[in-house]
This record gives sequence, C-alpha cells and structure tokens, in this order.
Amino acid sequence: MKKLSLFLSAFLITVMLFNGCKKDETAVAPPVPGNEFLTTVQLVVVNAADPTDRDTVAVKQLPDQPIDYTNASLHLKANSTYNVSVRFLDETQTPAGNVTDDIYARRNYHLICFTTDASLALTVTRTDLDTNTPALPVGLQDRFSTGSAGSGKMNVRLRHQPNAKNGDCDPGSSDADVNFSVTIQ
Amino acid sequence: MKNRYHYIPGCASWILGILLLTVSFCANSQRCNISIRGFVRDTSVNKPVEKATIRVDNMPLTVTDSRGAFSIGGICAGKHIIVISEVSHSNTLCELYVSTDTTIVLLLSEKSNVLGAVSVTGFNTRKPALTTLASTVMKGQDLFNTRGATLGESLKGITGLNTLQTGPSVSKPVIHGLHSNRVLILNNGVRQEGQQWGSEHAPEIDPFIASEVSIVKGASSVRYGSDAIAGVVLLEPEALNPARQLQGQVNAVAATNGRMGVMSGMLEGKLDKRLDGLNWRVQGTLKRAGNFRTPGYYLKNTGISEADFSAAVSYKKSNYGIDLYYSEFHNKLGVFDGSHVGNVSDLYAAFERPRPITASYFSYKIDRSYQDVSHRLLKAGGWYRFNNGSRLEVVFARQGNRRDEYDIDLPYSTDPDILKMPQISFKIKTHTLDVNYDWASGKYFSGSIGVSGGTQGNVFNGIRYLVPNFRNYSGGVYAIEKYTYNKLTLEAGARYDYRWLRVYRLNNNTLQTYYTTHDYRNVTGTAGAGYKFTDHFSINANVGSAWRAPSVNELYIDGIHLSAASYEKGDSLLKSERSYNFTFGIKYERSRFRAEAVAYYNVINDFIYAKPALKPVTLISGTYPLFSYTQDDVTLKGVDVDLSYKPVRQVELVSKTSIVRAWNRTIHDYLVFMPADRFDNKIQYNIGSLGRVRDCYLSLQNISVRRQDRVPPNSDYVAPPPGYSLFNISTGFTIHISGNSLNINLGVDNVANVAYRDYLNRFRYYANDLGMNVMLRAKYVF
Repeated sequence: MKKLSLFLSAFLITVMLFNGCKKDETAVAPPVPGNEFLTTVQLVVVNAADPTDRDTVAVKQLPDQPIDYTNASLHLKANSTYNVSVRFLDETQTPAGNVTDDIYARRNYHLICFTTDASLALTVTRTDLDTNTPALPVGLQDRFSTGSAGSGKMNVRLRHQPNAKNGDCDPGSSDADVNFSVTIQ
Repeated sequence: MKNRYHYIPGCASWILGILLLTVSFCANSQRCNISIRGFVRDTSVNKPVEKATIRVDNMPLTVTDSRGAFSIGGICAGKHIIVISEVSHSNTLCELYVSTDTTIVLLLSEKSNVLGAVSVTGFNTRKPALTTLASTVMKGQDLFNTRGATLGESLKGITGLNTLQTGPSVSKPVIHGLHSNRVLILNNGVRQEGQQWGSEHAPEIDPFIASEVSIVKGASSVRYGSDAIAGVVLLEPEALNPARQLQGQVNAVAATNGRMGVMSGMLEGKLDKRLDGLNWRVQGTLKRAGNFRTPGYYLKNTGISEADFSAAVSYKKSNYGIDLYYSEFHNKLGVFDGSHVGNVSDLYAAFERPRPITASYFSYKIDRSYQDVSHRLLKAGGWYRFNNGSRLEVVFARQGNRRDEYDIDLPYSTDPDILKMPQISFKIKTHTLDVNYDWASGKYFSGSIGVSGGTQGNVFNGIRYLVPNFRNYSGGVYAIEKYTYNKLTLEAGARYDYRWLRVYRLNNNTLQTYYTTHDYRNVTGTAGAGYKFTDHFSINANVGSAWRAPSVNELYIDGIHLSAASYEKGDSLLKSERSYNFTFGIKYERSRFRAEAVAYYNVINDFIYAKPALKPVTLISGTYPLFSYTQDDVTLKGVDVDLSYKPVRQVELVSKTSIVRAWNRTIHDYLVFMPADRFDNKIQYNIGSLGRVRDCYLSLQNISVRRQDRVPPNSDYVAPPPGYSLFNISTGFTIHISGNSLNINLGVDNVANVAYRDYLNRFRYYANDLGMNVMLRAKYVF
C-alpha cells in the first residue's frame, strides 16, 4: 500500500506540472487587417473621344451579405471606343483597401477574362502586358469597342494562374467571377 | 544447396546478391543470442504452473520453477515452435516469432480438451477490452511490408478497411464505411486528438512507432469513449523491456514513385544493477518524397517532408511501473496543384481535362499550397498490480496539435509579415486523464471499471472564417464484466458520458465576442457472447450501442472548401447521433485452412453528413454548390471474409473480401461516399530457408475494386470512376548475421502501371491514381 501511495503521489505531481492549461480560445482574433477580402469588382469606363463621358460600375459583396448588383449596369454609346480600368477593392475597411495594386504586383500570375453575350456588339481588348516572356496581357487596362445597339450580360473573371499563365483563361482558378449588365444605345 | 535454387530463380538470384554483400559479416559462425523468458500460468485457477517443460524447436528441455518462470537462451531470430508439457495439462504448442529478447506469458488450461487454448501474450500489450468484437492484428512481416506508407494506407490490407484519400500523401482509415470522427485512433494508449474532422486531415502519427496495430471493428465506445462508432485503431509500441543494455533497429525504405526515402531508427536499453527496471527508448523517423507519378504524368506539388521523434522512459518492478512518453510529429505536405479550383465552373473545367493542365515534372520542392502540421504528445502513466491480481492503471496525456494551411495564392497584401502567414491555422490542445481498474474474481469473472476525463481548447486563426474557437470538457465512467465458462464467454458493458462544449465567436459588426454552449449526455451499452464449439470452430456475436456528439465543424462550419469547390454550412441545432451495431463472427481454423467471416448491421439514427443542398451559393469569387450538414437515419451492413488455404506446405492462398451496403432510410436512397466492393487475392510461395537466408517468399497479389454503383442521383459532380484491378508482387527474406537479423522486402505495386481512379480519393476529379511503384524495404535488428 505504501508503494501504491508513493506511486499515486508521484503521478499527481506529474499531472500538476503539466496542467498549466490556458484558455486561449476565449480571445477570438478579429480578422487580420489588410487581408484578402476582395469585396468589390469595379469598372471605370472612359469614352476615348470624350473624357467627360465617364462611368463607374461595381459588383460588391460584404462578408455575410448577399451580392449587391445595384450599381452594376453599364451604359455605353454605340460605335464608340472606351478606355476601361478594372479595379478590385476591399471595402471592409475605410478607406477601401486597394487590391488592384497587389494584383498588378503579381500580374504574371493573373489574367482578367471578359465574356460577353452574343447579343452584345462589344469587343474587349486587353491593353496592358505583364513581364512574362513573351509578355502576356493582364486585363487591368482594356479597350471596349462597341457596335450597334443592344443589351446583354458581360462576365468578368479574375483568373489566378500561378506558374500556369499562358494567355488563356483556362488554367488556374477564379478569384472573382461577376456579371455586369451592359446596354449599348 | 544449389539444387534448391531452381524452385524460384528470381528469388535465388536475389539471395545470392545479398549473400555476396554480407559475406564479410558471415565469415565467423552465426551467433544466435536471443533469449526468451517467460511465465507459465494456469488460466482457470490463475496460478503459476510449476515443473512444466518448455521445448523450443529441437533444443534441450527447460523446466519452470516454482513461480512458473523459465528462461531459454541462444535462440536465433525468426519463427519458432514452442511445446509446453505438464502432467495435469495437455501438451500444447504455439508458434512464436522473435526478433529481440522477449518475455512471454503462456496461459494453459487444465487437461480435458484443447490444443488451441494456449495463448501467447507479451507483457503490457493491451488486449482488446471486448473480446466478442471482431478484431484484427497486424504485426511482424505484414506490418513490415507496409513500411513507408502513411498510417491510413498501411491499414488498407485489412479486410473491412479502406482509406479516404486526398491525393497520394493524405489518407485516413475507413472502417466499414465510416471514418474521421467515427474512428478512434489510440496512439500508445492515448486517444489521438487532432483536427481530424476534415477529410484532408490525416492522422498525425508516425507509423514506425508501432510494432503492432490492432483494429477493433464495431462500436467500442464503452471502453474507449464516445465517437468510436465505427471502431478503434490501436497502435502499440513494443513493450519497453529490453534484454540487453543497448539494442535497436534501423528501418530504411526507398520507393521509385515520388523517389521517396524513409529512414527510421530506434535505440533502447536498460540501466543495470542499481536501477534495475529502468528502461529507455529513443526513436526517430525522417521521410522525404517528391512529386508522385500517375501512369501518364507527375502530380505537381505532391511532395512530403516529415520528421518525427519519440522518447520513452519506464521504471518497472514486479507489481508496479511508471512510464513517461513524449513524441513529436512534424510534416509538410504539398497539396496537388491541379486540385486548386476556385468555383464550380473551374471544377467542371478541371475534370473535363484528360490530365491536369499545369506542367508536370519531378521535384522535391513543396510550393504553395501546402499543409504544415505538427503534433506533440506527452504521456505520463503508471500501473500497480495488487496481490489479488487486479491492476490499476492511470494515464495522463497532453497533446498539442497545430495545423497551418497555406493557399496557392499569397494574401492580397504588401505587408511581408502577412505574406508569411498561413491562410488558415488551427491550434488544438487536449488534456486527458484515464483511470482503469482491471480485476478478476473467482474462476469465471473478470472485468474492468474506469473513469476518464478531458478538456480541449481550439484556437482558429485565419483570413477566412471556417470554424470557431471552442472549449470542450468531457467525462465518462464505464464498467465491463466478463464471464468465461469452458467454451462460453459472455460479456457486457455500460458507459455514461457527459460532454460540454462552448463555442466562442466574434460579431463582425461590433467586434464583440459571444458564445454558445451545448451539452450532451448519453449512455452506451454493449453485450456479447462467444462460443467455441471445437478447437477449430468458434462463433461470436455482439450488440452495441454507441453515440457521438456533433463536432464543431458540423455545428458551425461556414465557408469554402477550396479543393472541393464546395461551400459547407453547419447546423448548430444538430443532435447526437446514435448507432445500434450488430456483429456476428464465425471462425474456422485448421493448420492448412482458415476461414473467418464477420457480418455487421449498423443502424445509425441521426447520422450527420454534408448533404448537397441543390442550391448554389453565389459569392464574388463565383458560384459554389452548397453542402449543409444534416441528419438522416441510415443503415450500413456488410461482410468481411478472410480465407487462407495451403494446398501444399510452401504455397499459401489468401483471399480477402470487403463489402459494404449503405442505405439512407430518410431519403430512401443510397448513402454517398461509401467504399466499393473490394477483393484482395494473393498467392504466396514460401521457399523457406536456404542456409542463412530464412523465410524467403515470393507473392503475387491482385486487388480488384468494383465500380461504386450505389450512389443517389445528383449527389456528386461526376459519376463514380470505373472499377479497377491491380497486380502487386513482393519478395523478401531474412538473414541472420552474428545474432542480428536483416529483413529485406522488395515489392512492386501496380506492376502493369494501370491508370485508375478510386471513388474514395477526393482527387479523382482531377487526376489518376498512382502508377507503378517499386519499393525496397530493409530492417536491421541489432
């Protein structure tokens, strides 16, 4: 019995030694600032012939909110040319974080793809290039050329293509995939 | 000698090669200096058997002393036949495989019948607490032939077991169709507590730690705690009781696929004289593999880099012992590049492709995305044996598990500190205390009672929300009673469990922490019977009920699973699930023929699973199919059949069949993600001993898996892959060098380099399974 009590007390001491359990889980970490919340895809559209004819449309989604299309209708003039900038924002912060710069910094991994409905007489040309050899388009800067009047949907995707970018939309995965409605008058 | 080679020329040339290499070691005569010590006891009166004679092979007789003890020296490593004779007991014989000095307990029953009544039990090996449940043990040669594989993968050879895989480097065991939280893994007696909920979270255990792996199939919650609905995997290291002051072993594995190399070493010893009884062991493993290869291409970014070590000290006397054990596991796993898809349209594009789009070549480099996992375990335990033969055991364990997952992309940030951070990080700490008391009273009754308790805290950090932080307290008490009378064994057990769970969350608008609390209490029971009609024929049956509380991810997960392109949503109102499990086993054993069949019928009410919600979630990054956790009543039934037959002494045929049928009673359709029918047939030619080369064998194995046709419509992105049939060959032998032994195995898996996909591999959407793999394994015991 003496041996047993010796054994039990030795055991209890060991238990105590290792029983410094802190309760870290009660402190819930807030989201790390400056992180990868990509909440908004914005198109800044400027008429090449008339710089005052300018429009900004966006598709936005804040965390735990449904997707917001209230400002996602783009109106363009027929038979015109537009210079377009695509911008990606993090609007969980004020002022909004600019994700575009990070995408530009890693432009060799990214491609912006545009898909338009057949009913839309709209041609999209990417006007910027990355530093791959040969240089491949990025799509943050584009030219929209419109034809006759019509309306339809335009899909804009930010493709993430690490070590796989080849100018095609196919490789990689989508970081953003949104639809704008476009009217050509 | 020479004329024996013509049986199998392939094996012979192997042996010649090794003989030439080792000729310098063999110059002096072979020393065989292993000793077997042991005790002979009578099971019916629980007393030592005096004056029993022990004969090992054809060596001189040894007689037991008044304590029933004996000791035989000068034994070579390998397989031996031991014959025990005593006047009032029948002569019994058993087969024993020894590689190091061994202590055994031989249990005899009184003369009347029995040949098979002798059982050999090493000291301190944990027998399954419930003997009427089907259990399988893997050790010795079988375990050696799985060295280098992950834990999940190495269990695949056991009937009724499958693996749930995420590419070549992550696999977890599936017992009778159930996995993850429903399979308990006991690592050296401690319940493994990691982030085991995710199917891509493999158990954080170095398989080299175990010298024996037992699998208990069927609900074992009464002894091992809730969650053990499907069964238990017990990993046991060799009992720490070395015969020599210093001894050990080195394992080395080389494989062509992934150009994998594994080294594992173990050293153990004892202190003599003044601190007799103090034993120690250190063990470590290093593993490195690069990109694995399918029959047509490499799988980019599937490398593994792993480093593990463990240390153990024990102090043992005749009636008490204490031990300390510490182990550390660390690995870094590349996640296959082609599996990274954003949303459902990417996923469809990915599996339309015949092969992954990214360039494939060989490299050891592990790029983003990868998992970085570490697991630390500290165990302090002790046992005390009372004069009446009963035994008290106390085990305290502390486990820390950290899992960092790095996405393929860097976070959108220019801050270098943030760029280094993982996208998702989990830290879970677990403390457990288990007390178990085993007792035997009178001639027929034995049993155990115990209490266990534990607390667990989980901290989640990450850029995306996935699961919340939590604190968990749990406690349980149980009792198991066993009655043995001649050929009949009856056992029954009951357990009560309580679990308290508090989940901490953050309100995104106010940034205030709030919590929700759940508690669960449940009773578990089991009853079983076994009957041994003759020495060759026995049956057993077991009825058990088990429960499992919903896990935190099932309650609260809310986010994207990138590699599956799915959005999972938990349900905080889920109840505990409860299973009623019936198993029936039948066993027939002759020296040349062996048959065992286990049938089971498992009714699980409120079975929790992620059900396709048939409505997509639209996020800024695209459209995701929604899977919501829900509860349905399901039934799983199936059979495991093991057959082996030796038509002649050297030839052995082994056949294993596993069949599972799972039905969702709520939706009147099949249950998804259940293993397909699997048939494993092997023919082995045992060449036997050729001089110093022993146990030489050559085997050909075929594994055939049928297509899983039993899936409900619209339950998956693609139809289940077709069935497949693979051939594996294996050859091996043992050489004794100066009393040490060298074990060699050369195996080729998927000899025909067949391109196939397995239904339970999550990466079947993107790529084929592995192609041909040549593996060379060596174990040197000194």
